[in-house]
Amino acid sequence: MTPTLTKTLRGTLRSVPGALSLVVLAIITAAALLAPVLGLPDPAEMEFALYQPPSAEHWLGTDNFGRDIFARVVWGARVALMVAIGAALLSILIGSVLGAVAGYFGGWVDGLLSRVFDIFLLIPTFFLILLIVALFGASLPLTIIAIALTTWPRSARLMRSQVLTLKSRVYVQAALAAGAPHWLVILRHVIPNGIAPIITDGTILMGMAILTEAGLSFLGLGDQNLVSWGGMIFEGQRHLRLAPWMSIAPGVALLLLVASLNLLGDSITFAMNPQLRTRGGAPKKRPTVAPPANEPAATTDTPILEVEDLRLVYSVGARRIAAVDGVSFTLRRGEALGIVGESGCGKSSLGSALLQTMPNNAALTGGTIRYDGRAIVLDGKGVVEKGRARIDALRWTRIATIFQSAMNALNPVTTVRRQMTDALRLHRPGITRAEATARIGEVFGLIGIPRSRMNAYPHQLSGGMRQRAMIALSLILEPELVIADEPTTALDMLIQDQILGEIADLRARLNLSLILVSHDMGAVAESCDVVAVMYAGRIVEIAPTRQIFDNPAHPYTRTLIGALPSLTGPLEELESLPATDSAAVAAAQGCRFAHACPAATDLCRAKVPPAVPLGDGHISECHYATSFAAEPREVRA
Amino acid sequence: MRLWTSTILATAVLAPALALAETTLIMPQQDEPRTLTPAPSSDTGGHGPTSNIYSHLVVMDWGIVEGVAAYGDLADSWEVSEDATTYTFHLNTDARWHDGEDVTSEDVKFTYERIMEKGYTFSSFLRDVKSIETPDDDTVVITLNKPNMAFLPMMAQGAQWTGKIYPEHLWADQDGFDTGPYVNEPVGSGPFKFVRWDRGTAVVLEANEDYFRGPPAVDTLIFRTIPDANVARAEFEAGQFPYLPFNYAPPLAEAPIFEADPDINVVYTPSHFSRDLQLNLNHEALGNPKVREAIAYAMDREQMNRLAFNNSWTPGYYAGVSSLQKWINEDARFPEHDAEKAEALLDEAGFPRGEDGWRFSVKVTGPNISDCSAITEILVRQLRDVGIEAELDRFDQSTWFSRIQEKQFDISCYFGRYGPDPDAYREHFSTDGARNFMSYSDAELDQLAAEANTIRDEETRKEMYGRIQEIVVRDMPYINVFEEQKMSLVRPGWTGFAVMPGGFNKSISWFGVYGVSGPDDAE
Amino acid sequence: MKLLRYLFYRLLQMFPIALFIVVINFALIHMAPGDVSILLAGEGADPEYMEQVRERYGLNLPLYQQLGAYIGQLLQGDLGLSFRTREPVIGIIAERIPATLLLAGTALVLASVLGVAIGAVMARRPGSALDTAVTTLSISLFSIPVFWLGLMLILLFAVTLRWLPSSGMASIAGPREGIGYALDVARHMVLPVLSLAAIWLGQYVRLSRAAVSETLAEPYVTTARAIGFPERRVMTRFALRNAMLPIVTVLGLELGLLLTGAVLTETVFSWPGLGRLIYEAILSRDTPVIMGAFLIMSFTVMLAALLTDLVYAALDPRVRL
Repeated sequence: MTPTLTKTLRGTLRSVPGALSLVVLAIITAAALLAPVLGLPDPAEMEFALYQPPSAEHWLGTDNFGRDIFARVVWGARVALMVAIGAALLSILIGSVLGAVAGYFGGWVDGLLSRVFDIFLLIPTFFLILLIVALFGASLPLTIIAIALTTWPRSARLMRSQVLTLKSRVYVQAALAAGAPHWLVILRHVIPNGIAPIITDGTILMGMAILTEAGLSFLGLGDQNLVSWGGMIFEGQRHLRLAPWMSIAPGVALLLLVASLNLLGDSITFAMNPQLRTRGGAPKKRPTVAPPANEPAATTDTPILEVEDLRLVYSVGARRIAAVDGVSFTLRRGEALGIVGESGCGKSSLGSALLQTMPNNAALTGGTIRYDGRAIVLDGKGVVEKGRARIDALRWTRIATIFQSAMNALNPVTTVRRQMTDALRLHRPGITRAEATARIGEVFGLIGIPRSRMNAYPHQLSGGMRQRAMIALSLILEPELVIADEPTTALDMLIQDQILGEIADLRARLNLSLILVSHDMGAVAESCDVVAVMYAGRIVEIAPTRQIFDNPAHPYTRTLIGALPSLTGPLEELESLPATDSAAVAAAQGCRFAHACPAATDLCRAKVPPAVPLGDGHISECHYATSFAAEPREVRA
Repeated sequence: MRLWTSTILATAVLAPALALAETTLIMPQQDEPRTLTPAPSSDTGGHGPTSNIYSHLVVMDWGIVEGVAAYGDLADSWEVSEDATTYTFHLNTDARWHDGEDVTSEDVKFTYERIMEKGYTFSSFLRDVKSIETPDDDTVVITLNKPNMAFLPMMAQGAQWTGKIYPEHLWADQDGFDTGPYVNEPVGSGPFKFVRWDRGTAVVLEANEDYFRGPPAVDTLIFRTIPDANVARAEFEAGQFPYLPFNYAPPLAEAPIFEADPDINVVYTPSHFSRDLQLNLNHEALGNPKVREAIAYAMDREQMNRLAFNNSWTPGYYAGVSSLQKWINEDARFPEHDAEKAEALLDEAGFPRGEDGWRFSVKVTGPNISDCSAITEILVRQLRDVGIEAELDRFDQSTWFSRIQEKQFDISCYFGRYGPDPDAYREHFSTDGARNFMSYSDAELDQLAAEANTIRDEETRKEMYGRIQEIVVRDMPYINVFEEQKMSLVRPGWTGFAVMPGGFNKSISWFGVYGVSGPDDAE
Repeated sequence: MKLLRYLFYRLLQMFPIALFIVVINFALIHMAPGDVSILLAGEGADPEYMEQVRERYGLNLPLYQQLGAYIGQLLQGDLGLSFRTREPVIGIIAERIPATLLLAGTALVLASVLGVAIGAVMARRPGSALDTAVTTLSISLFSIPVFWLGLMLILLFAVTLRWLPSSGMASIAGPREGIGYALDVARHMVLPVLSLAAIWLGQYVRLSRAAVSETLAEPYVTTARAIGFPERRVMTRFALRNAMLPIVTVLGLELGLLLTGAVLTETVFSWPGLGRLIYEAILSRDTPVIMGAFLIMSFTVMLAALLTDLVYAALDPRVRL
């Protein structure tokens, strides 16, 4: 808890609004606490000239009874903070306990309490507070209680959902097993662990409480014996023309305090989940370059895709992470290349670089990509011809992708047919509705989806069907190259096999070129001609499929193959792969794999291994590649 | 369409051509009428229209017409018998109903008898009536069970709200005054005739050319419902109507702004309502007369007047308001501010300052109206200055009223009429008085108050009420603070509104506009 | 058919909640100190008359009988008569609803459309200096007490500059119909709508910024870009369309909050709406109006919640009613 707390605090302080709001809060709190000893005039004493505008003597002027407004604003901070703290604490107390009880016991208790929470959502709470205060006499304690009584369901809902996730935790179960009574478990284990988000919400609750009290006071229902900002505005309203300063100062104070609380809550939330602030966004403008002067015309021998020394760097805060760190390969027309590696090795980043769909915090820092002999990316910059990026001309008509997890890769609110029609219309503007439907039907037939499912929404399809729909979408414009990024990850084994089989089959029938990105050697083995193994941002070994399975020339490849899961083998072995921190590895000297390599030597740790050609397009980046290649793989039992 | 300015413009341009321009007057009022029949219940939205459509037998306002017990409307004159039990009224012979019928004494008898029979609000003023006779068409004789000197002034005062005279020939077939076709299409004998009622917006009246006092200067009279004071004020400033009644008035502090504006006349009118303090004698400290006296010394009316009322209110040092002027005993006077004297009295009374500086604590309450709010707020400061730990405890009007009736208060701001007849002292200060919220009781006062109401000789009465005031000021169950001043705003050139000097006489009642004339009405 | 059954079930559910609200209000009002009959009888009425009044209004009955009678009357669709004006409560409330709808509705449309647009634009550049500035500004906006903002607008535009009226809904002597009337009302609406909209704007900017940036990070947006859809189309068809779901939910659920803002704004600008009616009724202890208005308001909020669910279902094919 404590390290998270300091981290959160540091994160909060680092953001400008967060730091600013803490400063404002500190000033207001100090003013409120020190009000009696600041040497201010008595805020209730009617001793000065009436309606004095702000001056050196009365910084904020005087009011209709000749009271010093600055003194009243300072004293008003006490009421605001009392309301904020009192109402928030009480509300959280009631809410946490009831929410914990509801979540903890479940069943009818939960049903009943949840119903009550719902009803409170439906009652215009401000009016209820207004009614209570108007009926029972306006006083600060009553106002605080009324606010708490109407806002507790907010904390209760939060606590309930926290408890639902907490109650299955080991320590809770352990405490119960040890015979602790329910209430003790709730108090000792459940509430303290679920309170963090509720406390964050508390800052917002405090802001709400202050505004509610101010609203009541403004309607003439504030505590009559205390100075409150809302009450000052209530009085000021009647003298707006004569003495506008009477209403201005307390309003500014209210705004500052409430805004600080809200900004603080906001900053804490962001400090706890930093990605919330920067995720998403539109693609940013990237550096471009004109096409090279003398590009040789493509011939039938020209590879469909050439990648040379490609580099992609992520910026996370101040850190730079080289996710793709000098990758080169060539894909011939009709060929299938598998790119394999564990998660975090940079294979998906490579995929996004090929399509130029990288997230905004990723940038190409170097390298060239050529499609059909024409450069799309030159020295890390997108090639623009006649005002249009070359890649844009290729999208979907020449290069298409199949994304992992089709559930999220298809737009959930439009039908499959609509999505495909849109893609068709975009690239073939003249196409009629009937033609589009015919084409979709054709592709569906190709993939083996019943035409009747055309009008389904993605969520109405089974996992396998959905993935097939994604494939259909990728094929709708008859591309030459398909980049499939983990197309089967989310599916169960049987369907995985089916889909991979279908992809392989389609490739053959449509003469597609294919790049299959996967963490699964098995998947790649079945469908690819060439396999590239990626580790920490580099292709450490590339070879024709047979070759790489028979003569793996890199110890990492060997580990992968050793861990190759078969339908009979234990799945857990996947987890036995050494974890990699790309950044740490890239920063180290020598071979990237050295730290985890069973055969590493001092040479490995000192010197970056060269790319060792082993013939037949087999290349391995290992000091001992030749000796590994000579030594056939041991087959596990 | 800016009605009244457009008449000015029209006059300026067309004056030579048209000798008499049409004058339209818009009167803003806060409430929409509930009905246009005045008798069944008091209806703040209805008073305006009905007071101009109907006539009264006699009217009276708290002392605006100085020195008289009542002011004749339909009654030209009246005589009171020696024993003060028989009242003979002579009606104006020119009075006609809007449908042309003659107004007769039978109409008066019919109206009053039905009011008594149905128990409508006005019947409380007729409680002592034994019989009503009509010796001829123009004479009404009212006989009382017992002498009651307050009968005429109280009845005349109440008549403005709910005691208007109905035409018998139209209402005789109806049950009560709250059913039938004339409830919302009234036929009266007043200076204006009913034209139409646009619900939610306005009641439109037109001048009664056959009015027995002669036709009014205003040709079209519109009572416009404007619930909100801010709206009314903005509309007044925008020139939509020439008169902003006091119930919409902006804070008195802004009076200098209006006084400096050549396009606005500020009119101050004593409302004859007091603002006073009621002290609950059941309170442990307030039960002590010395403490009550100390509070009177602690209170600084001048400071209140300066802070809250722009010095425009009249500090109330006597036990009465100015409508009782001729009854006031100037020797019975509440003390002026003297904080030292107050502290000394409190010490004497056995309430020395404690270690924390406080002698005892009281709660100061009052209705949530702006002037009582200001008075109580300042009073709390003044009491605290002499060591009384005073705190505010204000409520909305209905809660406040039920609390003081149940005697759940320490000190309360109160507004009272204490008139127009001094018989009001009985109601407020005698042991079983309906408005004796203070639990005050004094045998001598009880006896004097009961007796004074039956005595016809004014000198004797005055002496008795003078003594009552001495007793009240001696015991101070209440302390008078102010007489309220109303501030109304009028555009120059407009005269005759009831709040203006002489306006009440001309306009017959508080809501009447008979005497009003605009800048373009020939004098 | 299925939809009808769903609607029926949802509408049926409202009644126990309404009953709960009625009972709570009834209990609160009758537990409170003070005697309503004084209000009814008028100040200074004699005890006899007060007793009569109590009888006439059934205030002399035991509380449970009063509650029973009230509920019985409700079931016949009768909200009773106002204590203060003796007019039918239903009419009084109905008269005020259009004004509130006009004010709150205009402000809501303005704030949500503008807020969603600004939020969406900010979501395109998350974490940028502009985004941080706009986020901070919108948080500050909804931290402003709405009544105070109203006063400041009056001070500036009505008192100082004299450009716009400060109160009311229409000029007294202005046109009562046609385009002239509409223009007159529009002039009166500017300031109150502005103050409400400004505060809500902050909320919707935040809401939309969060929702849109969330959807922009979704894989289907990447798909759309890979397909080659122009960025504007990606934004509208993919990001905004999906971001509307959380936005609509919050919009619907916050209707009650909306009325809160309305009562304060209506007070500042003397706007003759429902919020101000409730406030006045509470201050004058006009029990039938208070109860009726709470009931109507709760039903409105419940209906809004239902409507939200319907709209949500229409927007999101994954939701089945």
